[in-house]
Amino acid sequence: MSVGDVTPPLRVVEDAGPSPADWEAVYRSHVAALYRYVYARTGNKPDAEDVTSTTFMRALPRLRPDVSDGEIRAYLRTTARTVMADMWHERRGVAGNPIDEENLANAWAPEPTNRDVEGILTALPSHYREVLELRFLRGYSIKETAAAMSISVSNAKVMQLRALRRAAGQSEVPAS
Amino acid sequence: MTRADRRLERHIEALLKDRRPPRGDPGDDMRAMQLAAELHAAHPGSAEPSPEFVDALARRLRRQHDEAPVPMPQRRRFLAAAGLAAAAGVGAGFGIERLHEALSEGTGRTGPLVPADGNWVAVAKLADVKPGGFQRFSAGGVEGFVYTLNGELQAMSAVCTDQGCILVADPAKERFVCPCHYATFSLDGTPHQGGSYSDKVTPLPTVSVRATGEDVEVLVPKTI
Repeated sequence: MSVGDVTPPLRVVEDAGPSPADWEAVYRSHVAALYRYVYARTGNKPDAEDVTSTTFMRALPRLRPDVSDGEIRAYLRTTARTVMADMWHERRGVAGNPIDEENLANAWAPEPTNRDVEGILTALPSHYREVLELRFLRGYSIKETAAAMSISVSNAKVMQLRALRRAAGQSEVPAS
Repeated sequence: MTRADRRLERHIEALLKDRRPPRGDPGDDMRAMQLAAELHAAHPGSAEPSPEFVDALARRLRRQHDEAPVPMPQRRRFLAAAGLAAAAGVGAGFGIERLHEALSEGTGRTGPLVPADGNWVAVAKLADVKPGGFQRFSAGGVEGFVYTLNGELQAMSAVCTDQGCILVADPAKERFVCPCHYATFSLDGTPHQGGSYSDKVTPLPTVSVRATGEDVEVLVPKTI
């Protein structure tokens, strides 16, 4: 669009007055998938519930009446990402400044995160893979993990950290 | 154990107990913490919403709807959507296979963000939108940048399509950079290829923009 152009026109929503059951059916058909999407990024129930709630409260009144199922899903995810960005900014104190030299420098690090969880685990040395599988996929406590691997509790604690950092493509032992 | 070790350990313990992780700067462990969330989500059953939560949110939405009528898709469409959800197998175990689905964004352009009911909101002065410069805005729940692209005004979402971090503009290389997972996007919103994650990242949504007098305006949802 050229500078000075005043298009595009606003899309007008007809006030068709759908019954409450209509939006509730849309909500129920999308809520589980959105929750899983959010949970895979927040990793815990209270945050996943908060983000999912805020997303639907914010997004449902703004959905156009003529959108497809795929568009609803995309709009919900876009809204959820914005809600998560606000949450992380507030909680971590990062990723909020538009021009932040330190963030920019970090952002040039070449290693991307591998999102293929199965591939990540397969690529690890066996003791690292085992500690992550026991802790995260089986939900073992540190004590149970240590017992299953025949190592001490303190070793299990350190090993899970090193395994996770290595899997994330980071250095196993941080500088600080 | 170092301070960073204890911080990461507390983070893991919280996630495994399904609690909020402690606040604070993740330091060098941001990617490890994100991976911890993904691994925990792969635990069978952990990433499903509870029926109590689903019902409670439905009640909240009903109250919101009663206060302000909600425009919704036509009946034919949502019936089709509900049918698909049922066919997908409610109650199926959630494991690594489902995590792939939860992490993937699908393919194709995300498309423009067009609100159902929007306002044109002034977010910058036209004189301040200079070639090579970026103006961040936050309006109507939309985080974005306005700038010029090939001599024309452009507005783009500033939220990474990966995990929702706010992007950083990198004027020197004419791109947007995600500080969380290092995804990069060209100025037309296209994600750059190369990383093993890049096929999971969809293009940035554009935001409708116009110049009115001295102001640059974007089309964003009305504030509720």
